[in-house]
Amino acid sequence: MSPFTAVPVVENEVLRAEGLVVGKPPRVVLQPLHLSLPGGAALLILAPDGGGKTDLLRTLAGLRPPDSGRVLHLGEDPAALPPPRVRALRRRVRMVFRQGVLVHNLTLLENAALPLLVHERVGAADARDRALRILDSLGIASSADLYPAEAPPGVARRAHLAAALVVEPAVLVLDQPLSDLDREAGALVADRLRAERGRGVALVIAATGPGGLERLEPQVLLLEGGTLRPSDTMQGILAMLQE
Amino acid sequence: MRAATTRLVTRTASEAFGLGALLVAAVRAGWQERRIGGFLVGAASRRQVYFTAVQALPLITLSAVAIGAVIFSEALTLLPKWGAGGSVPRLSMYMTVGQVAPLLSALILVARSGTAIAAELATMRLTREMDLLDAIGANPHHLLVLPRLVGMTVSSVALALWFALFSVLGGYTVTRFLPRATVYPFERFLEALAPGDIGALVAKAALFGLGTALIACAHGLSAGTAARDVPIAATRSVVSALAFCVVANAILTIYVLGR
Repeated sequence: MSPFTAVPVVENEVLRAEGLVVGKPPRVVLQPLHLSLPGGAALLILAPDGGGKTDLLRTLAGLRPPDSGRVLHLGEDPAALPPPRVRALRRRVRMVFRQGVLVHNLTLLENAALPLLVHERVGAADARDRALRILDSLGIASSADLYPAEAPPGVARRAHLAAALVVEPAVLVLDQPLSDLDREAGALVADRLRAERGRGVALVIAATGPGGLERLEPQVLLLEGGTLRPSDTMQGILAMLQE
Repeated sequence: MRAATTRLVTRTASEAFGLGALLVAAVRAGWQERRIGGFLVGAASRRQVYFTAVQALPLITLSAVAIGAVIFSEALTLLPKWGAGGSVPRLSMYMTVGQVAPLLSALILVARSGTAIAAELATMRLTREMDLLDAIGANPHHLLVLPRLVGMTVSSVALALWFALFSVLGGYTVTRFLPRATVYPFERFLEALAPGDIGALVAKAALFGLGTALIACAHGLSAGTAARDVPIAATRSVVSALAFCVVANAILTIYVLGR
C-alpha cells in the first residue's frame, strides 16, 4: 500500500494526517487529506511557486494549526498538547525553512548546536563537537565561526539543515532543500538526506521541480487544485534521472 | 474628557496586565526549563549587561559629572542665600543619590537599550528567527525575554550606583573651584548620605530596569512582520518606557519612599 494514501495506521508510523485541510476559501491549498507516513519514507510534493507548499509543510510540521482535521506526530496531536510537550515534540519533527533562517547573533556552529542546548542537558563543548561533525558532513566546517550575515546563502542553508539534523529527528519537513545550492553542495545535501532516510528518518519535501532530489528515490505527489495526487509521469521522470 | 480619561485608564491597565503576564511567563519559563539551556540564558544575560551597562559607561560618567556639578553648585550658591546653608550637604546628597541618579540613568537606559531590545526582537520576527525558535522548540520567554530582564535589571542598578558615585565626586570637585562658594569638607557630604538614599536608588533602579525591559520585550515580540513595524516597535517602546519611569518615580517618591 502506498504510504501517502494509507488511512489505517501503518507500521512504524511517524506522521499522520486525518482529514487535513489547509487554507480557507477562496484560497484552499489542500482539500481533506488522509496520510500515514512510516519512518524511512520519502515524499516529494511538487507545486509551482505560490502554490501553497509552505503552508502545507508548516501544517504538517505542526507550526501552523490545520484549518480542519488534525496532524499526528509519533501518535500525538501537537494541537492538543501543553506547550512544554509541544516543544519536546518539535525535537522529533523538524522543519527546514526555504530561507535557511538562523539566529543572527550566533555563529553557524552555535546555531547548529542551539537545538541540542535547548533540548538536552549537554555541555557547551559537547554540543559544539556534535554540531561540528554535522557541519563537516555538509561540507561547511570551515565556515563554522562565521555569523549568518557573513555566510553565503548556500552555506547558511546548510547550517540551518545542520541545526535540524543535530537532534536526530524522526521526521524532516524540508522546503526546497536544494535551492541556492550549487551542484556539488546539492549532491552533498542530497546524499546526507538519503543517509538519514536510510537511518529511518521520514522525509517530507516540497519543491518546484525535482532538481537533484531524485537521489532520494522519493514518491512524488503533485499539488494541484487543492488536491495532492500521485504522478506516474513524474515518478517515471525521476526514475529516469536517477538512472 | 471623561471618555478620554476612561480610555487612557483602560489602556494603561490593559498594558500593565500584559506586562505582568509577560513577567510571569518569563519567570515560569525560567523555572520549567531550568535543567536545559542554562548556558544560553547565562551567556545572553552577560551579553545584555555588556551592551547595556559596560558600553554605556562613558555616557553615564559624563552625564553624572555634569549633572552633579549643576546640583552641587546650585545648592552651594542658592541655599546659603535663602538662609538654609546648613542643608547644603543633605539636600545635595538626597537629590543626587536618591532622585537624579536612578531616574537619569534609567532615561539613558531607555534611550539606548530599550530601543535596541524592541528593535532587535521586532527584527527577529521580520527575519523569521521567531519562527525558527518555534520550529526548534525553544521557548522565547526562556531564551529571549528572561536574559533581557535579568541583564537590564542588573545593569540599571549598576549604572545608577555608578551615576551616583561620579555625580557626587564630580559635583564636589567642580564646586571646589566655584568663586565665593562656601567650602564644605567632603566628610560632611558623606555623613549627610542616609542609608535610605541608597535603598531608594537600588529599589527605583531595579524597578526602572525591569519595567523598561518588559516594555521593550512586549513591543518587540508583538511587532508585525513588515519592515515598518521595526521602527514603530522601537518608538512605542521608548515612549511607554519613558512614561513608565517618570510616573513610577513620582509614585514611589511621593507615596512609598517619601513616607
